Amino acid sequence: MMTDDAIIARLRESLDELTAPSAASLPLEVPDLDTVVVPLTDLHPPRRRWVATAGVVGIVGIAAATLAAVVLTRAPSDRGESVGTPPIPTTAVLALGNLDGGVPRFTLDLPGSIVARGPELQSSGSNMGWQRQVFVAADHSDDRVLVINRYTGGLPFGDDSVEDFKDSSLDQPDTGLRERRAAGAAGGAVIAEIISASDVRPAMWIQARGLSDVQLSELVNGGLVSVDERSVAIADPSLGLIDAGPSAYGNGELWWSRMADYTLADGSRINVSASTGTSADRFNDALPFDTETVNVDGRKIYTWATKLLDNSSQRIDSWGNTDATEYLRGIEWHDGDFNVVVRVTGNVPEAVLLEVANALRLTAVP
Amino acid sequence: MQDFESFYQAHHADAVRWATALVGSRAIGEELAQDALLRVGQRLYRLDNPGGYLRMTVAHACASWHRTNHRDRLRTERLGVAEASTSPAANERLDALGRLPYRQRAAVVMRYWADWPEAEIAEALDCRPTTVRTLIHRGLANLRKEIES
Repeated sequence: MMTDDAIIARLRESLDELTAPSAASLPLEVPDLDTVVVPLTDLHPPRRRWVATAGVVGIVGIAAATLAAVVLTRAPSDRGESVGTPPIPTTAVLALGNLDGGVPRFTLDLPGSIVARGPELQSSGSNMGWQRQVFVAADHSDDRVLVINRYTGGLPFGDDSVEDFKDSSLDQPDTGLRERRAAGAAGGAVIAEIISASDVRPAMWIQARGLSDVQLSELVNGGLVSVDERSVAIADPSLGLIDAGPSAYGNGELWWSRMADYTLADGSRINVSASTGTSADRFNDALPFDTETVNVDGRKIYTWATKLLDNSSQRIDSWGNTDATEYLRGIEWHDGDFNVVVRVTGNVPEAVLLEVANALRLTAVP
Repeated sequence: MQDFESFYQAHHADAVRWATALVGSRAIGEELAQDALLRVGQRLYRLDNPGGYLRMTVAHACASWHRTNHRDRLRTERLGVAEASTSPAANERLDALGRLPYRQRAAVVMRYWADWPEAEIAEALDCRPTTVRTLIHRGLANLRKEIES
């Protein structure tokens, strides 16, 4: 039997290996605290709701957590806001991370543009947590787009440490470290920088559209994704929908995701995405769901059609050859593992945001 | 009074190492450490013991990460995703460490690798020192089972 000392020695050795500074580590750059500003007051849900729900969850466990999720999703109607016809989602997000004038918090002089970023409040079943994301869209002439989504942190629904968490994480979405990662994604060293900075982690997923086979191979061979697949192309560009299709998790498991980009009359954009948060099998099991149409600001956003994955045996590799017109796309929600995320880009009036929230029956964060 | 820049430069490497060890990932460790350092930075002038506060903040951030990324971690373990920079032998041991409940893992790592005093571990884990000893004892016993199996 191994002694404690032997176990500890092996443990030390392994942890030393794990934590040894690597050549890929970014140079140390002290972040500027003064530039880390997020309108937290715009993002925080009422604390009493957290506290009250935490108490309920603690008392009656999972059943109460389910109930709490239902209560949360009914919040818009409780406040007298309009409600639409779609089924009440048990998961909903309204991200207001870019409401501070609607201006991206940093710009880069690179052949691309950062289209959305910021903290989001995410609700997923009985869990609610904060996530932080960096989106980069390299808007090249050949229409390649690479979107990077970086999840960090979070906390269980009802956790008493929510305030601490928000203090510690939510208000620091964009440090120098992340800016450099974003720069790498948008610039010439698209793949190398991302890999060296973040490795292949489950916490990172990418979505790519309009990529050639060669470019996809580069991603796969570079280790950024380990499944060779691509997103489905746009079926109807007039709808402003930019993307639909599966994404690949860095660990090789697919993370089914849909995105819709909705452009308002003034040029502002609202990006809506939904992801399964689970494996393809579970996603298939969850479908189909009803097709609905949501009107926002005189335009329509479609939910995905039931044909999306009507054949549960459909293989992932069929996506690349599938006729995109088979699929309607837009906004989807579902209970269980689905996450629905609305990202706001540009100077979107708050009234429009609320309209979107109401139309999607999202729990708006005042 | 120490300014943030010097504090950051003095503690960044340690914070990254701690967080990396606690979550098992260099990339995530960097993120969490950065969060923790920034949080301390915002309170730096009000803290009597910013180093201790940083330890606690890193531990809390890692605990939070473990809670909310449980599903992802299970998926990662199932697929055998390992840090590219570590050897197979180290990966096996780190996997064993990663299968421990977080508090046991944290107590063992803090005590025997990061060399934190017992009182600071207790503070970081929000428990009494006697509980820390229990966590370490159980953690080592579980590690032994994992490694020997």
